[in-house]
Amino acid sequence: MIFHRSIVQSASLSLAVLLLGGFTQESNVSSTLRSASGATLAPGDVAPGKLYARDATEALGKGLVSVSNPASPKQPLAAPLAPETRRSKSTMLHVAPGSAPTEVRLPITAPEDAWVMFIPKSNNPKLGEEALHDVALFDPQGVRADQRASRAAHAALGMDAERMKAEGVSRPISMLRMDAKNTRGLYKVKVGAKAAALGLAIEVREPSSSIELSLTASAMQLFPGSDGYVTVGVTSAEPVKHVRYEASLYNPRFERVRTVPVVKVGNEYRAMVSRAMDERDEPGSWVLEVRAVGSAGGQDFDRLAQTAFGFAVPTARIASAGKARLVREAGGKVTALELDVVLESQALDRYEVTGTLVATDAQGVERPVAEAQVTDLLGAGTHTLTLRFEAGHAGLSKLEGSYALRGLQLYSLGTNTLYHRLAKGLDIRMPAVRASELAAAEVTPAIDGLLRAGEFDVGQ
Amino acid sequence: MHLFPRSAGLALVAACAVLLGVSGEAHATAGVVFVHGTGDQSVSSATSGYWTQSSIDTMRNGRPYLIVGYPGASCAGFSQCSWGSIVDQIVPWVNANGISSFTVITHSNGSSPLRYMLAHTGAVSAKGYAVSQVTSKISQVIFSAPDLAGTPLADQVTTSGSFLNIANSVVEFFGGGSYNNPAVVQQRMDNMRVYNSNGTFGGTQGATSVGGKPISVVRGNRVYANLFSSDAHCGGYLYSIGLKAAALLGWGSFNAGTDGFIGNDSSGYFGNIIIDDGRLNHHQSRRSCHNSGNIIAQKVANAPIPAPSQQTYAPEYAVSEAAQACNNYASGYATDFMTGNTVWKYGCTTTQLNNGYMEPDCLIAYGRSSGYTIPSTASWNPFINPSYYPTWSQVCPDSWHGDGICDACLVAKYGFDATTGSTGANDCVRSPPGGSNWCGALAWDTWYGFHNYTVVKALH
Repeated sequence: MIFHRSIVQSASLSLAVLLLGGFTQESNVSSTLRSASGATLAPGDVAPGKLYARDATEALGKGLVSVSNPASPKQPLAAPLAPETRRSKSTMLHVAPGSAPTEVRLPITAPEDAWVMFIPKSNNPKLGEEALHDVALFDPQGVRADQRASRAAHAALGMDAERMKAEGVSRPISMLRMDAKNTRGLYKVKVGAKAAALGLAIEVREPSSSIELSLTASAMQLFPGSDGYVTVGVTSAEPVKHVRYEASLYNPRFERVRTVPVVKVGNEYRAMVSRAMDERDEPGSWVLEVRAVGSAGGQDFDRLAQTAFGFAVPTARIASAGKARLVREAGGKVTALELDVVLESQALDRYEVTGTLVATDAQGVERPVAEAQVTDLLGAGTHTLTLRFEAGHAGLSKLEGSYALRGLQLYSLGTNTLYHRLAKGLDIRMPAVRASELAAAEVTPAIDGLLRAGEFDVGQ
Repeated sequence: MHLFPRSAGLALVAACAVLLGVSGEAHATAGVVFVHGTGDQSVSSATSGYWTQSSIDTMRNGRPYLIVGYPGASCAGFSQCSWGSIVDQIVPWVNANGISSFTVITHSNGSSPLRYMLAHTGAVSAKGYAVSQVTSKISQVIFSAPDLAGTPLADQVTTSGSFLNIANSVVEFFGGGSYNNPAVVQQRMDNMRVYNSNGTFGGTQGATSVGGKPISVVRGNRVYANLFSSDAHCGGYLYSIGLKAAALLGWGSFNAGTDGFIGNDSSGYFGNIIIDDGRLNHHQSRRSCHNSGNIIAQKVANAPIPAPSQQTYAPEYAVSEAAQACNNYASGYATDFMTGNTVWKYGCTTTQLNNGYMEPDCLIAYGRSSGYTIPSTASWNPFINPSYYPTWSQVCPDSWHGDGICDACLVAKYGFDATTGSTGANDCVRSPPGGSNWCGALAWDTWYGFHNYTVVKALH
């Protein structure tokens, strides 16, 4: 049912005065828009600075789509994920396809529980097997080390080599299980002609080693011009004598595209990814790979680690939001809670605005009750999109009071990147409403399932 | 003379379920949609190669269904060519068949396009359908072995450019030949953290609903250590051994929580875990192995299912003779109600237990016979040998669970013949004195002169 909004608002305002009695002094509508510029950012918030006039290239559909869904209040609204520290006690060395026979030096610092894996660069099992017959590992004393380690790997896997032969696999495993009988030091892998021609990756994992490379991104997402970096560090039980870092960036298609400078800032090393990127780069998830080669306690080591971060070239932002209002039907029931979000755009894209309504429970914990999303194809200019929360969805959890907007965000469907996120939702509150005033939700099969699962029961 | 077709038994069970108050969608218009994981699949290859028709039939619980085929390797889950293709198949199917709502069952990375759709209801497919046209009809989502936070194997293969030779048997899970395809790059753990943080994929850690839909998760948590057990054979031995190698590859220990492909941290990132099985590897979870298909079928019907810790049954062979429903220890003549012929029930005396031959009824009555033990799906098991089913078009399908006949073949495969849910459909519960049980078992057909799977009545 569609009413002219002003009629609904004025009628509902009158009715509210009649029905709410002393429950609230608030109006059914707030006329103000709150500006997003200068808003205090919470951890995990994303706010673009400069906007770019770059139209989205992905096929974009037309038409406004507005959706409301109930949200389970069982869990408080999750905070955005923060960057994690990724740690590595392993490395990966490569013999490129088409290479001549070669020797690869393999520093192993802690053979206990270590694995060495020979990985032919082919998905043809027959070629892979032939290549594996052409690879041998020698310990620091020059004694062949792969044969016993291969048997140890068979045992660890619980695999019967005879059984595998029956399955047509004669050299079934290229994983080598090292142990304390192996000495630490510089191993050599002899890569014969067939293996070198096919190409080989050699991975070493040393879970018992104390030498660890760690990477921590400064943010989950970067914009052009932001000061983004990845902190790089090597820790070891023994003093690190020297270490050299090499860092490379992979684009969202996982193609290595450039190197990144690693510089010392204060007491830490940083891979300065922002310096290596600009607005011409592809939006998406980029991976930074860092290799650390050095010496600790008189022992050479080699470590490789990777981490990812989002990169977006923003073409729009949330300029303001507000005019929160209750939409009532003729009988006075509240059918929807709405608010406007004003966007500032510099380019064509299919923009999606999402928000979550939360209620505060008796313990003072904010719990989500409904989500709304509105999406449209918009060009450059200023646009207003309305988030419409079905009142019935909000009412399913029976949490009443003044609902607050949280998790307000702007997402680009043309680039699949996040342009703006305000966890606090500009602290917009909807006009207060009793749960009994909310129109009942249509019980769809999905809502029926959630009801039966007790998803809306929070013990209020 | 025919007692009744097996399908009639199933229908009776379904009817009982309704009478007993199983609520949910109207059966006539409620459907099931299957979305495969990584791999460029056609509808045909997804049906026969990925899921298999028997597994589909077990899970869909008699409901109309759609098998989706889409470019799940060459397109990442967030790309329009992935989720859009799914939307473009679902909308016409819904319209053509009058589907009012449907359950979505995904396997592996099939979760990613679904998560995208749940998070971006206003996205529009290449054929102009808004995602909301699909999500508005979804009643529930069942993620089987989902990749919700990435897998170390994706890190491994993108970094090495290949796979361990031994694990080539599981390369299908990454879409075949190309390891750096967009779907695999998407499944890198560092990339998935970006997509989970910026709203690309819906669902936050610990959530039990996404986009207003109940989310269930089916997962294996271990690649069963004994590769020579019967469980290892379900779905293919090489898959099992490849997944065990993959488990070693990804986590350094096959005791870690993983189905060989997806770690527990990823599959359990969010959702209600309805199956958490130590004998269900990544391949087996799409093939309804280890009774998982029947439990999923119960979920599809919105029937209550027990918690994962309570989904096991006392093996039927461990029940005392006096309490067994089917008197398999007793020999004698009986009428086969499927053919109307007189059959000789073999029975099992204590001397037959170790007479050097494998006696079918000893397996059922005592769980063992001359060194053979059940449950087992190994090729020696006569209960899964098609030559012992000369009058049947099926060989002990899992759909026989809970259909009112205590099937020795299911006891031989799984140790029990039961479904879960409000029907309490354990077929092998002995009737009280004066009552009877229907019993399926191998016997000698005296009319035809061959061994056959028969259905006889056991009197108590």
